[in-house]
Amino acid sequence: MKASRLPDGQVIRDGAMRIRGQWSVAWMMTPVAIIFTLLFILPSLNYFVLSFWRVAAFRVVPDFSYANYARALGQHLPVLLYTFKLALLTAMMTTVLGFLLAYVIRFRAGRLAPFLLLVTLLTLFGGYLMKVYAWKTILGNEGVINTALLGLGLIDQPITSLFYSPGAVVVTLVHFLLPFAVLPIFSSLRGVEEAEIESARDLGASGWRVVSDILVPRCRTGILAAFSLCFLAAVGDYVTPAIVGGTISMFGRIIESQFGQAFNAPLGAALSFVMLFASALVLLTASLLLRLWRPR
Amino acid sequence: METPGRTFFWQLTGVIFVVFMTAPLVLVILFSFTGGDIAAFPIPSLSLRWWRALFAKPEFYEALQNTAIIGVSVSAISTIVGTVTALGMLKLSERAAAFVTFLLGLPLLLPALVLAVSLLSFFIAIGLKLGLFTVMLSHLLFTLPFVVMIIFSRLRTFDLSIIESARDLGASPMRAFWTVTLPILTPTLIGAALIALSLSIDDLIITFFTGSGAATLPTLVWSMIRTNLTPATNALGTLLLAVTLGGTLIAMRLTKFRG
Amino acid sequence: MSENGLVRLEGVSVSYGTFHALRPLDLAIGHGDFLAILGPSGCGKTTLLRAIGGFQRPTSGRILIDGQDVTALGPEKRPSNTVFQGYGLFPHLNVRQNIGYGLRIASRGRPEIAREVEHIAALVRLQEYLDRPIDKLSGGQRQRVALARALVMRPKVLLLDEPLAALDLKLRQTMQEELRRIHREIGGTFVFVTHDQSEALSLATRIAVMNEGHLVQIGSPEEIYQRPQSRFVATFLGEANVLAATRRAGQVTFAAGGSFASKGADGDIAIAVRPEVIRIAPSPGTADLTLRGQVRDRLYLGSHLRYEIGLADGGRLVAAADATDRRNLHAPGDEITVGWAHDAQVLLDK
Repeated sequence: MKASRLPDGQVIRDGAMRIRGQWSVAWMMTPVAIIFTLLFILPSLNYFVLSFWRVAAFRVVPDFSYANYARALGQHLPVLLYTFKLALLTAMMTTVLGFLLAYVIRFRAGRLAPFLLLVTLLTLFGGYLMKVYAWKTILGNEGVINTALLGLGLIDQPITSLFYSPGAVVVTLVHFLLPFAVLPIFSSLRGVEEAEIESARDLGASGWRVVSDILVPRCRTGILAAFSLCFLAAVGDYVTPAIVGGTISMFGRIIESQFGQAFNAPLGAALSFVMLFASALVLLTASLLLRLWRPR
Repeated sequence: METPGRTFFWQLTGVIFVVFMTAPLVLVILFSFTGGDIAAFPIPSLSLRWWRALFAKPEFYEALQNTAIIGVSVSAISTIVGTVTALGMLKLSERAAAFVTFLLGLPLLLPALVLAVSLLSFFIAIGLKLGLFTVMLSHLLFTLPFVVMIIFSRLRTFDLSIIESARDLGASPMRAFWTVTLPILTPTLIGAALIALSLSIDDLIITFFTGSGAATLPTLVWSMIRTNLTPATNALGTLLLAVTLGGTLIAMRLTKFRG
Repeated sequence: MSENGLVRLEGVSVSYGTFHALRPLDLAIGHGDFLAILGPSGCGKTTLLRAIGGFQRPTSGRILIDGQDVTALGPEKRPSNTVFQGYGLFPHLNVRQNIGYGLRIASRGRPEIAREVEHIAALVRLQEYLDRPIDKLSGGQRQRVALARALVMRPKVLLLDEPLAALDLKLRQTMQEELRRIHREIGGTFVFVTHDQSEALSLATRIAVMNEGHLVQIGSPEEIYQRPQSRFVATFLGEANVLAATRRAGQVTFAAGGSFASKGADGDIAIAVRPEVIRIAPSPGTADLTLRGQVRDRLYLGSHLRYEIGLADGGRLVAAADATDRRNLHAPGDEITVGWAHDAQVLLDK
């Protein structure tokens, strides 16, 4: 590069300043980069490599075999499909309810809105285990529902199917995931003006058409984020089925047991990646479907 | 069209949601004060019996201590690292900053179980002894994204002319930072620290796997649920709820964080 | 004003609990009217417009459009369309889809929608922008899209909520001309809300002035300006001097001196005089009424001079004088006579 004397000097000085600026940004991003690499990237890679290893005499041995994946997709496929069915149901219910609540907070609750938002945020950050445990006290044989029904004389035996059932798992998951669904949708809805909805009404749209033509297309990102978050959390959860699901086998429990009783970490890793990959497919489909959603 | 009937309908919907979200937690709290033998209706009398039972357990104090050690260190480290990161992101382009936010958020997208066992395998592979230290490291992974997000969103709306005024009135860059920037940011930093604390205290799954039996309050609840189920579990749960929800509430007051 | 207006409001009121946004009012809007609803912020003008559009259910009263009672109908069922203050455009749709939205809802055929959209785009001069996304448009273009989107529905009445408030001064003037042209070309009935009196005066064929939930006066711009019925209307539209006076036995005497004959009940009254009708040092015979005063301040405003004159009773009078006439030049402190013609002043009700 050639330049006359004076601008040349300036170019160099500007360049030096820019480099120094970049250096300081680099320094500031270093701690987080180290933490992220050490605690996320390396463990993930390690975990992926582990999925090809095998266990011999209760020891993990390096190897390169697809045997774990074959087992994951063979022996454990029915549980995977069952888990996905429950997770899909959970994620859809949570997203719909989350959308409804976000809509109420954004447009309908009036003076109640800040309070609703507060409750949503509060239940987001704490009480995971307590929420699961609470449903045990509600749905169990000596739980609130059964005692109430017995007390009213409507039944004379506790309804055992309330508890330790897929329904109990789904209800519990929906309850604890709801705030996670509300927030991304709510932040999408914040960008939607009241006048957009009123315009649509003014131009003849019914309430349902407002939802399908305006709200859903405008909240695509939020809806997808909510759905993904809920689906992944539901697919991988093992605490909920363990506490309220009884003998119901979900994929998370199988993965968990590889690190406990079964002691087969490589299989656990392969199961995890099968689960993540299959989830990615589900989420990809969901995002495609949502993109295809066009107002007619 | 706005009519009183519809307004009522929507407010009722809101109230139903609130009941759905909070009633189960209220029940947990209520049953911790039962005088009966189980966490169920009817409640024969109100008593502090199960709270006393909880406070009589030696393992409670051990768990409390571990939880406090982990929570406080996680909260402090993630706030310091988060502040530095957020300040750095401020100098990045909009796109680059969004990318950093996305990257940091990735671990949150994964099921906690997968994160937990991959960390466990990694710690074993590099020969790190499992214990409070590994739990603390692991918690940083999910507290940092929240802390960075909270501080960064505050910094982005920060009126830079305030700092310029300070400089104009004769403050050196360092002095401007200590006397102007930091005092203004303090509520946000405390808020972020409290959120990190709540998240850390509330975690069960990652603690359970990466701590190798190190008892914290949630793992204690977990073992109590699975072994001898008494309303003492409710008392412990209530305590956990009070700490995490209280921390979050104060944090939201301070940061005016709204999602 | 026709007895059977296109839009008729009968005893319409809106209240929220104890707060009365709109006091019971009657209003008739005729075919082809370009009506401005004018008033300060919080006077209920937007509430009134929203009631006509179907976004606000009246607490009492009836609303009829073209003889049909629409009081209980939602906005989607009314033959009216609205241009919102923030436009309310759909950012996920382009200009063409925005304009065609209402027709699509009405299940019109594709060719018809395309034809109508092209037609209306030509009217508002948006042909070249039809395939642009909304966020690539300027403020003025967005305004046109909002207008086109409503007009394409061929509403019996077009409602506009502060249509020009978001635009800068230059654009506002252009859009005022555009709105007048469009109104002329399609000959529709337009109702718009504004707090800007000059906008109301220059655009509307009729003006309804509102204050504190009341409809205080309605009439042509000339009537409203020249014959205000209340102190509020006189001072809200343009500048007016409101002078205190008393009537005794058919003779009105100003507090600042000077009197004239006027029939009516005895008591205190108020009289409005516009600054531009006041003559300074009037030659004999050009003023029916004269007052003495002292020049307090003089402002040069290019086309005219603005005098502030202190009166005998301590009151203040603002007068505008032709700046090109040397005889109008008086310095602060000068004692002068001011006067005006009988028919230039207005006796106010209150």
